[in-house]
Amino acid sequence: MHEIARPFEGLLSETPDLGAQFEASLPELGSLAFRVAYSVLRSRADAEDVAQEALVRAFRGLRSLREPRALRGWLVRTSFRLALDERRRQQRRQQRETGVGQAVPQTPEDELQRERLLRAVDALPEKLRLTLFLAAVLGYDGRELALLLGVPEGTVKSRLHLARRRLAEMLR
Amino acid sequence: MTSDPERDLDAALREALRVEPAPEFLPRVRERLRNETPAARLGWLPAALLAGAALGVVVMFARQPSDNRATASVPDGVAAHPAPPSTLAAPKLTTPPMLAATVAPVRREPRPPAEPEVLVPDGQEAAIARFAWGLEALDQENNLAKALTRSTTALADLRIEPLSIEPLERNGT
Repeated sequence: MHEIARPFEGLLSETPDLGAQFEASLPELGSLAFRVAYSVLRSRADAEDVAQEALVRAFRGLRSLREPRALRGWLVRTSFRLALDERRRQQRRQQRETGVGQAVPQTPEDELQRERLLRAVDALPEKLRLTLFLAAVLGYDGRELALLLGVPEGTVKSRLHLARRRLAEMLR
Repeated sequence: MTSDPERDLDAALREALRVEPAPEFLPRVRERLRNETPAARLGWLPAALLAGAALGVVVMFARQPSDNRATASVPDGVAAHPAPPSTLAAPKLTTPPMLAATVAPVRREPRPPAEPEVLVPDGQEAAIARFAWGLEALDQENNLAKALTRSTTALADLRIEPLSIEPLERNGT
C-alpha cells in the first residue's frame, strides 16, 4: 500500500519557528511535491527539479503565509503548475526538434497499457487531473481535498466524478 | 481486477505513478534551502535601508523650499522674530506644488541697526522730543495752528548749524 501524506497532521503548527518545522517536514513535503510533479512529467530527474523549485518557493514564502496549515495545498498547486510549465517547455522543444509530437514507445503490452492510461489522464483538464491524482494516487478524501485545493467539497466530488467518467470513456 | 471500475482505475493510476524521489533528492533540497535561508530571512533588510534613505532624501528636499517660502512671505519685521514651527509650516501645506516651484527665494534686505543713528546734536534731544510731542498732539486735538505753534516753540532751543554746500565740480575739474 502506498504511503498517504495527510494534509494536516502535525505539520506547521502556529509556533514561531516555521523554518525549523519546514525542514523537519521536508521528507514528507518533498515526497508530495515530487509525486505531484512526476504525475505530470513522468521523468524522475525533471520531477525532482520541479519539486525542489516548489519547495524553495514554499520556504521563501513561509513567513508571508497567513495560515501555516495551508502550506501543503500551496505546495501541491505550485508543484503541479511548475510541472505543467516544464512539460509544455519540453513539448515545444520536442516539436521543434522532431517536427511532431511525442512518439509512442515500442514497449511490451503492460507498458503500452500504462502509457495509454497516462495519456488519457494527460488529456483531462488540469483541475480534473490534479484532483484525480490527489485522490487516486495520494489517497486524499473529499474533505481533505476541499481544504487542500481551496474549493467546496461538492466541487471536489463533482470533479472526481467527471474525471473518472471521462477517463473511462477514453479508455473504453 | 475487481468489479468496481473506479477502484480499478485508481489502482492502475497508483501503479503507474508509484515512484519516489532518489535518495539524493532530499540532501540536495536541504543544501539549496541552507543557501536560501539568509537571503530569505534578511531579504527585507536592503529594501528597508533603501526605502529609509530615499525617505530621508525626500524629507530633506521637501523641507528646504518650505523654509524659503515662509521667509519670503513674511514681512521683514516679522521675520526678525522667529515664528514657531507651526507658523512656518503653514505655507507648505497651503501652497500648490507648482506655484511653490516657481516662487524664487527673496533676498533679504540688510537689517537696520538696532539703534537709529543720532542726527541731533548732544543736549538738544529734549527740544526735538517736545517738537515731536507737539506734532503728535495734532492727531488728538485736530488743531493744526495750535500744534504747530507748540512745536515751533519747542524748537526755540534748537541750534541748527548753517549748511555749507560746495559747488559741483564741472567736467571733472
